[in-house]
Amino acid sequence: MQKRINFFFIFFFFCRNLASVDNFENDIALITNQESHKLDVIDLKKKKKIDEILVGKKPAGIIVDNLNRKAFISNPGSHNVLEIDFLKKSKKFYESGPSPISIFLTKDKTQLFASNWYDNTVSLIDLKKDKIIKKIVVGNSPAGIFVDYENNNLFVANRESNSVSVVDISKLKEVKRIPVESAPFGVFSEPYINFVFVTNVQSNSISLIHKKNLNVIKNIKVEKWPYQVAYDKENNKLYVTNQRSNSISIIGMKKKKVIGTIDDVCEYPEGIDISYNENLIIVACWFEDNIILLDLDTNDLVKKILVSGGPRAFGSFILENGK
Amino acid sequence: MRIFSFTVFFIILNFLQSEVFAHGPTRQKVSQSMNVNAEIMMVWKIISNFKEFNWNPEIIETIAESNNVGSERVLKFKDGKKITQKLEKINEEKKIISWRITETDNDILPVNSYGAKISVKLEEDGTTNINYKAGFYRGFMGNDPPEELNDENSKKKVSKFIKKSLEGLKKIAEKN
Repeated sequence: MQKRINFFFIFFFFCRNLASVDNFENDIALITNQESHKLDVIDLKKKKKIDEILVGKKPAGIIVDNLNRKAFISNPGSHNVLEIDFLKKSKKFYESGPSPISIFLTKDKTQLFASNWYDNTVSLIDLKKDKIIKKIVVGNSPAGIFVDYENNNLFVANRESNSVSVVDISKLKEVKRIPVESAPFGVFSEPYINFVFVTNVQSNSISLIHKKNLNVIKNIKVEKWPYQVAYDKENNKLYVTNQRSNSISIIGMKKKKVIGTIDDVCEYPEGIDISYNENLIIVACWFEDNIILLDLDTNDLVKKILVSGGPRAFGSFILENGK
Repeated sequence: MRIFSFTVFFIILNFLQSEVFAHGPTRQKVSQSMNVNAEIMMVWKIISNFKEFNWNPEIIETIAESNNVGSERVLKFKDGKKITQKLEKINEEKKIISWRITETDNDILPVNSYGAKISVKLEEDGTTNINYKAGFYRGFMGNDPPEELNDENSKKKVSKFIKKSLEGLKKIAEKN
């Protein structure tokens, strides 16, 4: 009987619509919506929403595995992480710690780190064994995380400790705690740049941490309540969403200073990412329940697209075309 | 039939459990609109006068420095409770004003990081539309909040405050 119950339980979740992302011809933006408990699927070439998928409770964080055509979503309300496999059209939930916020895959994509806001830890989840294999103690209220594969380090923003923990992922131990400014929330980087960018919400600044020497090399003032960062590799620029100023700060990485601001983008801009194939910046606008598409060259508004409610999109959310 | 019943039971249980074990402060939003049968400039004049919040009938006194960005106002309520707000933005051209709460009283508004924005626009029929929005976190930021400071109750109190403010504004604007 238990097997039957499990079968129907799983069937219930698998019956959800996963048919939308099946041709992989276009870049797709995957937007977590904390109020509707859904992941909205946006075709960036067609510039329209093509589907919405029920995930866990209050989804916030996201990471995309382009190679295997998967997305992972953190559900702080149901204390789990959802894996969506767009090739197999399947879903699988993994238990995490309490209130997972940010997630990041290991280099071989077989394990996943999740920051647990309420117990000051980062879980390492083995996706094959389907279990938490380690909980690493970090600072208070860990939020954004990033794994530097080259130097084997995991960076964790400890919002209530005003610090960033550096965890050696070969030892799974915190090896350094770097003081930053007030209320660090987001941590972002790319494999091809030397810095990790930290958004300090209450001090309205971005800390640049050098990946090798693990020191803060500069704090850059932006506008109110910076949330997320997207790095434009083609123009060596950073785009920073400022929630309370309804703006995006542009930082030139050559001189490491603010070179412009896009004002009045939308209300509470949060998640931000770049589609190079479509030459677009995609921004989740929490208060307006929409996402906006900006031209990557001119920063002009291209389109607003309505989403299902409370978009956060905290992480890398572009599933690139499979060509 | 038994399998069907079990399936339904577990589906319901799944949703119930998710609510019971839901943790973590999630930012809340409230947005309310109202049409007022009054001139847009007159409505805007009332709203943009940061020094005076007498259009919410529960506020008995407003003490403020000025109508300039950065100015703070203390709202005094009937039972002696106080809330302090700071003027963040004012756009005369677009008729948009926004402020934040710097100090609250949880009995009136159980919130954290509360920001409000009011925009005013002219409708085709000549009436004036007022949109009052607020974004905030609940009164208790930790895990397992007491009932009066949870998401639901915080949202309820903000909704009530905004509703009363809009109703009061309509009354004053339409009387003039």
